[in-house]
Amino acid sequence: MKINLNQTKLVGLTMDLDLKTKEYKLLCKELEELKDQKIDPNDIIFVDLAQRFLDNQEEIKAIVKQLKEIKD
Amino acid sequence: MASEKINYMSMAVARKNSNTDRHGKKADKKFDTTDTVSLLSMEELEETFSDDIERRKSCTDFALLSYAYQSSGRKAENGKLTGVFWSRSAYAAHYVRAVHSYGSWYCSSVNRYVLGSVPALSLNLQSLISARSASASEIFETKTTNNGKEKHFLKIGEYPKTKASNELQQTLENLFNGGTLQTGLTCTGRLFTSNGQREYNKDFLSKQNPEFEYNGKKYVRNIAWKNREYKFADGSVVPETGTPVWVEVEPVTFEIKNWNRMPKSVNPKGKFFGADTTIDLVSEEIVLSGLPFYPDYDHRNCSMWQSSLQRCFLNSARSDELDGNPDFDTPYKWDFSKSGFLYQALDLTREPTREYIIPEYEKEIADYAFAGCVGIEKIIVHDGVKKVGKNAFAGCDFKFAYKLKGQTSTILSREKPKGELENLVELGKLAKTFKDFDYGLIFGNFNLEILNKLAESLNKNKISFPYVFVKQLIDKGMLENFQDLCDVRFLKSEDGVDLTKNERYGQLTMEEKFDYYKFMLALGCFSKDKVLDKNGKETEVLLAQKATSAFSQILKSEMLKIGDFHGLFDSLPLETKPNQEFLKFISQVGDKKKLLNLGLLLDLNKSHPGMFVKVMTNFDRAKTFRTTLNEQGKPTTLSWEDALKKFYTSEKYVGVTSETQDIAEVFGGKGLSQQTFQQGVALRKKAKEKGVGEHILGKPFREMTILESIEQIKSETESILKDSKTLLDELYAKQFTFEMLSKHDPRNAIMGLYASCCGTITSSFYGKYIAQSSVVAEDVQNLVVRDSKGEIIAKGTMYVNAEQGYAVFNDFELNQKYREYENNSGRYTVSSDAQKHKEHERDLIFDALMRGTMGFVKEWDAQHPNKPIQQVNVGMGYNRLKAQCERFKKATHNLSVPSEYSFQDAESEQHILYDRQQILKQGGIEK
Repeated sequence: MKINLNQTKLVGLTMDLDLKTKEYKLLCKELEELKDQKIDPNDIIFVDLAQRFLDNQEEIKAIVKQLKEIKD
Repeated sequence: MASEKINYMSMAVARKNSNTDRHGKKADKKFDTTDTVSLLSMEELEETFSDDIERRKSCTDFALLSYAYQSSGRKAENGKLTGVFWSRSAYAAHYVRAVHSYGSWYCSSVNRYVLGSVPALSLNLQSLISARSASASEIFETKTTNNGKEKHFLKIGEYPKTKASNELQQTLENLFNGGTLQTGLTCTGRLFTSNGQREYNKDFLSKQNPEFEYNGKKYVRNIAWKNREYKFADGSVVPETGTPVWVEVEPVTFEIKNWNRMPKSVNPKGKFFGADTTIDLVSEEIVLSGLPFYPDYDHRNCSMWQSSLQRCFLNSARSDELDGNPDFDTPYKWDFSKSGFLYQALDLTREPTREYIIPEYEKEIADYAFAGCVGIEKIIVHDGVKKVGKNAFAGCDFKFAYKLKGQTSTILSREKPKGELENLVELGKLAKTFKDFDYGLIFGNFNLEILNKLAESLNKNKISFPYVFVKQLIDKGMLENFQDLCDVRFLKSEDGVDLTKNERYGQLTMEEKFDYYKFMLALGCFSKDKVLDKNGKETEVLLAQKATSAFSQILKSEMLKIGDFHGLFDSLPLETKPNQEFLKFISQVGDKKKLLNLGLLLDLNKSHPGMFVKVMTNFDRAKTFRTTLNEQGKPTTLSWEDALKKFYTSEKYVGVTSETQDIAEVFGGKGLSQQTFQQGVALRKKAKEKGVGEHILGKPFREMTILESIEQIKSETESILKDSKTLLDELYAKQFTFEMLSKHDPRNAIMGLYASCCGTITSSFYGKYIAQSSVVAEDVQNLVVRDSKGEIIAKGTMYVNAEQGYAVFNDFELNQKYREYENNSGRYTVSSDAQKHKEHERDLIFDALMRGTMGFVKEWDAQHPNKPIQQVNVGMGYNRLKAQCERFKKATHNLSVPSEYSFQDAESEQHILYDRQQILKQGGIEK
């Protein structure tokens, strides 16, 4: 059987994206919990969370970039 | 070890530290300081810990009880959740570098309370070993981290660290409250100090955590200052602010920074010569929190280590005695010589604190400042103290308050004082009388005589009042008038009502009790006024009697329950004057002995919030709304309900329009007058006349909060995820794979159904023979292409001439769904630019067929090295991928296929997909 490298890469990236989507959903859940606690919107705890949201977005962007490379 | 009384403080070696300027620049020696304890600088933190993971620090339970931040999931090397902590390096003016819960860098404004302290210091090694009667291997501890690295630790001194188990908490608190200090729990008299300040940009306020001994171990009784639902080491959650929590006092664990430079007597792998004579330590955990780097964000040098509160506190120093450049001194006059970290954690010989003097620079006493400090026999409070926090002296056993003649400080004492005194007060009586009394009443210029008298009267009648109520009466100068009838004598005489023994009353919070008494006061239950008769003449009856009777009726009726008082009367001003007519109004009894008007008011209050208090405080005005004119202009009387509703509405501003509604709401909410409202409206009108827009920029412009930033990141991520889903769908839809379909596969016989052509054994066209040959002819096979779902969507039936080394595809056939945009020119390409993406799909299918073809050739050549394939052609008859095939050279001579196979599409025109000679000329097939 011949390996289709693009397809293998696509499956790998799909799994990565899946993982990051789950992580994103967990972050959203954490955010909602914090919002329920009526914490000051500029509290340091949000800095930490914002950073994690940003990290997550960066990682998703990197995966999407690779997907686009496959497409092109 | 805890019992050894060693003074580690005396072994500490002062070090020269180089520091940053206030902007974070490491400049010259003028920023140097000499410190015994310090925080690590940014460089030292980089040097000491090899990566972010190693740099992470967890919080002790004691730190968590002082408002420390705790991350939600990141753990330090010791397996505990991480916190955030200060370095001693500035980042910029007002900002200091700090270590994030990830172990990476960030910066924090100097006045934050959530960051903790990780103290570092050096001890004289020889003194340490001499003082500890144990071998080096017993003194030092070695742990292996998760990544296999060995780390070395030293436990010294004593500091509150781990919360006692829940069971022990209960035991200790019971012993503490049960007064069995002598038998079970011993007060050591030693204190551990933390910051009791709760407001930003305000100076340090001492909060003492008293130490007790129980079963040979030591514990402090800390009053929690909760940040969030953070978790202690044992998994339990930090309780609400104000809850007492017992924390075990344990040695502080320090990591040894210079283990490799230790002498061989300490570290067998260490040095014979040139070994360090000091042992350099940094705390394993964040030992305390709630201490800003500097309390004043606006101070010029607030980000500099030299002037910092952290430096002064950790070194147990006086701010005016610490060394450094005079240009960078702090104006604060701190004195932590008997309260900072160095002294309290490392001098185990320190004496108990029996007498405490509030430092001159502390103008307030923090909430719970001395709560539970039963070991302190005397506290001297200077007259500059302006405010005493709640429960500041809760649980302290002071019996007397007094002033020494000619002196201004007030002294709280357990023993009866001797000598010439002024204003001596027996605190026991006050404490009994004023529920939750915390001694704050006795400071300042208030005449203690009145308070004494009030206490005596209440004691005599076995009545107690909430402390907050009495405090407010004092603050508003109402105590003198109040005290004559404070015994609530009339209420006691009413049947069935016992004010302070009421079951519901006992469950009320102090604030709720406060509102309960406010209502009584406003009704007139404590008023010395006489009731007026119909003609306005004074009678002999006291208003207090009448009011108390009404109040008693209200309680008995249960229409207004004790638990409702707080919601109803928390906005009732303490100074509300009793109104006899209101009293009469709510006492009016209707059918079934119900209090009619009280019921009406309570009902109206539900639909008209604040109605009760509004009517009660303005009854004279409210009742005027009963009289009005009817439609004929004749005087008429409205029902109380309509009148009160009208009154309620009238309380809003006159002249409110839809355009000024927002002004009315904002101004009304602040209780501003009609005049101010009109001024606000006039200003709005003027702006409108001038055509002033809402924003100079013509649009709203403001900085997002961090929470809003998160929402934006979130929405961006949502959008990226949505796009990526579409992208994935597209990509998966275009994943075409080839396969030389097994000749035993039954689909060969009906391939036309997959590739939408006549290639089936039932066809009446030549496709029938192609289908047959793909099953029965040894030299014919179908090369098929599958989509991402595994469905066959294209095929090429190939004849291989092994003898002459060539192969021919009859043509390439495509499933209908890839043919819907074909033009009818016979070239089988899609018709317009708009459908280019469809053409792209056909390209991808063709690519798969080509990969299959080339793969076949390679494999064939490997199996038949003496008879390799020289050429592969494709017929162009009804070829559905004509456009793609035309990119290849047209054959000048067609390759032949046995006629029984009916490769009719390959008869007229063929294109060369593979030409071995050509490829060899170009350098080979691989290339």
